[in-house]
Amino acid sequence: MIRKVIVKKSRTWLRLDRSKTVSSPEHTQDLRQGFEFASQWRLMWWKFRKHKLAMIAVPVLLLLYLSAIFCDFLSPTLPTSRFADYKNAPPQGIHFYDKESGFSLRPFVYGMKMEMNKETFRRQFTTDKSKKYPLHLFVKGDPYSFLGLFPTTTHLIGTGNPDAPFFLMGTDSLGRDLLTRILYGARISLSFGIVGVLLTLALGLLLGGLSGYFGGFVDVVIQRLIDLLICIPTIPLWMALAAALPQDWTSVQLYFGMIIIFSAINWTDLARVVRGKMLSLREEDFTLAARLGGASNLRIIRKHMLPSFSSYIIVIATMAIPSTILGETALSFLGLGMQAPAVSWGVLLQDAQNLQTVAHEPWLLWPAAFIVVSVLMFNFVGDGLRDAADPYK
Amino acid sequence: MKKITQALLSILLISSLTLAGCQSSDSKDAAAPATADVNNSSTPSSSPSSSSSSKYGESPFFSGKNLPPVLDRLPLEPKLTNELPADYLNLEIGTYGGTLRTARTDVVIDNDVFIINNEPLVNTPGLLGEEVTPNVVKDFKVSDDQKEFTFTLREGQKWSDGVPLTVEDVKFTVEDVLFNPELTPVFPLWLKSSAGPDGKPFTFQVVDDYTFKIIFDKPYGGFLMQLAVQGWRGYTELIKPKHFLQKYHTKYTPLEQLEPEIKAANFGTGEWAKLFISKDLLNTEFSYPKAVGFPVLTPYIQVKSGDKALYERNPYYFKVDAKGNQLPYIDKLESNFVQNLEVVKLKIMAGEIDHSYEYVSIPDVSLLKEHEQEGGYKVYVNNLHRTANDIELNQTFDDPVWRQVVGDARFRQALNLALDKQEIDDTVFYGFANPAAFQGAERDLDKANKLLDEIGLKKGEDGLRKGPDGKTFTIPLEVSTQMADFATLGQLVVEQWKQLGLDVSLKQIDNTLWTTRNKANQLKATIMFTPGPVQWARSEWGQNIWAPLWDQWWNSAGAQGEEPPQDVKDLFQSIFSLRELPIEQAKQKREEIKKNFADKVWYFIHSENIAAPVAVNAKIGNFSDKGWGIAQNFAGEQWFFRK
Amino acid sequence: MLTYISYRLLQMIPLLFVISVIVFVIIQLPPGDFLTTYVEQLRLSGSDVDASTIIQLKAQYGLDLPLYGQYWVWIKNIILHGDLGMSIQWNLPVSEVIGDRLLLTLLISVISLILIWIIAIPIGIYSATHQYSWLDYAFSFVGFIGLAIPGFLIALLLVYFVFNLTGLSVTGLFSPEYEGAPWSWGKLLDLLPHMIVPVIIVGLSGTAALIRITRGMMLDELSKQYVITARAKGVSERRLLFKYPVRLAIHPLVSTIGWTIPALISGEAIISIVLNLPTTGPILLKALMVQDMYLAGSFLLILSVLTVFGTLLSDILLAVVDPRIRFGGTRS
Repeated sequence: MIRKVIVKKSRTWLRLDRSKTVSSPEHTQDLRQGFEFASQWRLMWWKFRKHKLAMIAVPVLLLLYLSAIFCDFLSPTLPTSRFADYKNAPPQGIHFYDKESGFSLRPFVYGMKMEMNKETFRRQFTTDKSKKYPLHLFVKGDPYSFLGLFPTTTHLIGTGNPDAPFFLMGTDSLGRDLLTRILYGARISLSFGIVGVLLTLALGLLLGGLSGYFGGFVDVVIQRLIDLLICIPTIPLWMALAAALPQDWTSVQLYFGMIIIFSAINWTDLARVVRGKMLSLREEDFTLAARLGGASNLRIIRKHMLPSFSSYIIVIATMAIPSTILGETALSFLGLGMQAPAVSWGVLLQDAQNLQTVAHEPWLLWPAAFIVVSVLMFNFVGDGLRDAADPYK
Repeated sequence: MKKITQALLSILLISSLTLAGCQSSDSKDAAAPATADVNNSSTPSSSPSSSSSSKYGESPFFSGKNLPPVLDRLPLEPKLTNELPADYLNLEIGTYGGTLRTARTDVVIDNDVFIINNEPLVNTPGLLGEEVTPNVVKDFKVSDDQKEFTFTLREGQKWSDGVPLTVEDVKFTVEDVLFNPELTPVFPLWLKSSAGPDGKPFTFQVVDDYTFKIIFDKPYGGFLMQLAVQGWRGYTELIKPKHFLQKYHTKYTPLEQLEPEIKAANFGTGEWAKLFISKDLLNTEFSYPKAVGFPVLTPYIQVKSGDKALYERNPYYFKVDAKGNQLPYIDKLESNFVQNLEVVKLKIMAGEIDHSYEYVSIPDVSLLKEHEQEGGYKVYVNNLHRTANDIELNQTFDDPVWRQVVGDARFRQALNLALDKQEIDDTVFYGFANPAAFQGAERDLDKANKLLDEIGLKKGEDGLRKGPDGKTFTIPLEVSTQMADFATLGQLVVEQWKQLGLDVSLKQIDNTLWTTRNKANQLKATIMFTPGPVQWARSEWGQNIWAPLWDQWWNSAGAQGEEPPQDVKDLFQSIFSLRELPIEQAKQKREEIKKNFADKVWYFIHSENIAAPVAVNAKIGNFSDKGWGIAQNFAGEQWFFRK
Repeated sequence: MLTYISYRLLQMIPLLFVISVIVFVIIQLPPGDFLTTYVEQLRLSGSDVDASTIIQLKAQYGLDLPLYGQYWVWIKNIILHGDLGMSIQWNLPVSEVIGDRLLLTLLISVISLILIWIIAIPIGIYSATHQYSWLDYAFSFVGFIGLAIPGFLIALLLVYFVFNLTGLSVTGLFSPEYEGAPWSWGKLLDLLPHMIVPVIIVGLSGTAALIRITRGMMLDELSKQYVITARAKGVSERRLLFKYPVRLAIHPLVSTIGWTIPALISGEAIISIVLNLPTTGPILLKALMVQDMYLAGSFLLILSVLTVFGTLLSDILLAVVDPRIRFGGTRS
């Protein structure tokens, strides 16, 4: 089922491209004509453009995903690198101006000194203005493997000095750079959203579609299964299934295991929507017409039903991504999700969810900002898509 | 030292019994602040009319409650409180009144209240194990061969319902409960000679109305320590309220009479033992809802259960202060069920809780310090009564390659040398701990690498060391989520050991799962605290974690687990011999054990003198920052609210 | 109608039976059991537990029986005596543990739900009728922020800032003097101000979600032909709006009432932990963690029964409201 959607999608994209080449000359001539000839997807795009928030959200999301993909290059250091002299360091400012040397085009950061105050029990930092570390692009740093392809030591930005502090978002209690950890965490958290929803979608489409199309016994069985799953709160279900994951799994395997569980619990909503849509589409005139015209079941589904609700599916999927990302955070909060040393936004936030942090190390809440922004952006996009979903209105 | 203290104590006792308003004879008490307090405290001992004529003071809490006079409620010779060693703090004479509010994160167990309420037969001041003094019992004698223990109860001591405590209660407990196989299917290990699995149960003799003997067939010098501090036993395993429990025992009440109650409790016909057990409370169960109405000897008795459980002072509590005032000073306890540690801290800062127990960890202190003034509390920094988080490699894990490597002392020495203990202390404990010197505090990666090369763990092309089977040797740390420290330390250790070219990983698992895996000998490497290195009197040096099978073999006298090699047997022997030896010899033995752990590095004890911060209502008196935090808690009946 | 209801009621019996089995099994699926955890917990805090005590505890709570035996005892007592069993962890009958908490949970949930509806439906309608107006964007933005911030974080931040401003801890549902006191007018009045913070936080994400749903449904309805026809015939905008589209737009809300209960309980749990509310969520979570199966099992069973009946209720409601369903649904 899912493959079909993708196939369908790529085909429409093809069509879109063709229509572009054909229609673009005329487009300027007569917009009304273009409107009549434009494909469904093109119409959707026109409608989508009207949603300003969604239009802002798309580039932001792209940026987030790109930085997640290239996190090892973008981050100044490695997520496990400890700077023992800078534990719980506050974020540093980037400066261009210094009293002594005046303005410089090359930005720099000041040195810092950590001291443990045995009276207040706090690690205190003083800025050491005598030490300046200029920032460079493409500096040599900790070695890593770029996208797992080739080993390198080049990082986008840094001081080039392994002992110099460079923490744009501060450090955690072990002295690890938070920005680096957030960028690496984005990989897990953002992909969890996408992969989780794709899997959920697959399950939901399959079961919902079966239930909706065939009806009868299949429908009854799947409906009762859905009833059952909805009756039981998700937490015990999650705990039971999570406990069933083999103990000797590595963190990568566990990550995928968790995605599978997540989908196994969350497919019901989607399946219900799909079934409902199937049921109503089955009654539509054009389905009837196709059936009378002698079209096979498969053809009806593929040619007539899927196109008319694939846009809905995309909307629902987009809306489900943010709740999946939030779900990961909530599970981490309860100690049921991913755990350190895995680095995800939920795990990072787990370290920060105490009064001590809120009061004294508020920069550790940065992961929350990233969660909020990405969830917000997904919702905007979803909202825009929703408005655009049925362009013939 | 011991004799001097004893002499001092007896002088104190006598003075308190004979003189009413006189200065106490403890030289340190003569200091100025103490005198000021003596003046303040004249109120409780003089205000109630009944006590002005008596030599004992009592709380105004009891006035108008139709109780017998305090003289009749106390034993003939009450216990003069000595929970803390004299060099910890000058005990002040407190004032009566107030409610101590505590927080509990368990639904029924409040450890704060549990420790305050813990009353062992004998005690050891400061919980240090340096000496043993009488507590519930008035006196005890140990035969020279360390086999025969004679205890004398306090004449006139009463249960919290006013029924006298006599040797009958002990006899009932021993003969009708302990030696009744229906009620005690497995005889407790610690009551067998030298607490060994192959030891014989003790024999019991009643000497007179207040004296009884416990006789072992082998020397068991550690028995006193077992009674005093081991396992927080309190008195309940040897003294139970016969007058209350005989109603549920078929020896005293015919089974037919019990049947309705058995049925009401949902047990099967004839299952009187289940009924009895459900009615017979151990000291760990005094905070349970069913403890309301159960006769106890503790300073506080539960009067109301629930999310907010209430406790009131026991009118028949057997301890007095140096001026003869019946303890405790504080009238009531209020135990609040709190679902989240952060809320506990919030409540401390808002001044809604008077004692933080162990809920405060070092990273929290800075925030608590900031709000000391507004919250009306004070943060004391005591020491932790155990280690905080040691690192254990399972030497009985079922994998020959793993065993061959980990079983080699040089391997463990190498890993020990690779630990950066200073960084651990700075990171995990914010510098409020020291690198433990006895296993060596120096970091030496070269030496460590050399040792690993020597064993034959050669580095492969990927830079990782290979085991004897040629495969990459992996140390998978699995730590429980129970304490946040574990993961912090785990991440440090992983990185520090990786520098040796070892493949080390970390995984956090749920506490329940950790327990299960530990029991099943499935944990290869983990992090867990152990009492042994700090509380020498306890024979727990983490054996159940770094060698579960050997530990099982030892504890079951060879019935389960796996027989350990000779050097481990010797080690276990010396650890457990602490139970047989009298205190002085035991202390020597302790040094030997420590040396053994330094040489063989059975597991990694990286830190010592770990701070245990505790936030306490600033008005509370008789609290000091010396010694273990838990020892201060143990002396809770002496706390009082300053006016 | 009556035959429909009785048919549905009959259908419930096997469903509830299956649920009870599943619930009992999934609670025990994670490794370990209550006693092992309990004993280990005591051991770690320094208390020794004798072998006899463990054996006795096992026998007392029937933990020495095989799983099916435990299930049989549990379900038998529920069916025959309405006895939900004992919570091992609390040492109290399950009904006593759950009683007040369930009441408070339902109270918070229902008030939040009503509040959500009161706020979200008008906003949703407004947003739909004024699509892409600046107020639509403003509501969208605020609504989505509520949806985007994890509830526990809002709770924690709120608690801290209130403490910083006032020196008070805004946790719990009652003032100290009413905690654990029997119900009275005073206690009820005391409860109300304490409910504000939890209701807002629980309601926050729900409101945002509902605004979106209502807005979406409204947009769908508004573009339908009957609306255009009505408008063409000169029906006033207001009448046009409230006669059909609004009624249809809240349709899915009615149909999902039944399912909102378990969702609310799950959602409320996390917030209740942070705010220390005496509700069912944290208790359930704790019971699951330590595998107090009679407490967790009975509670989950109660929830399932509530859900199943809720679903039935909403189906009946729908049939009453919507003639299309009443007359045999969409099936041809």
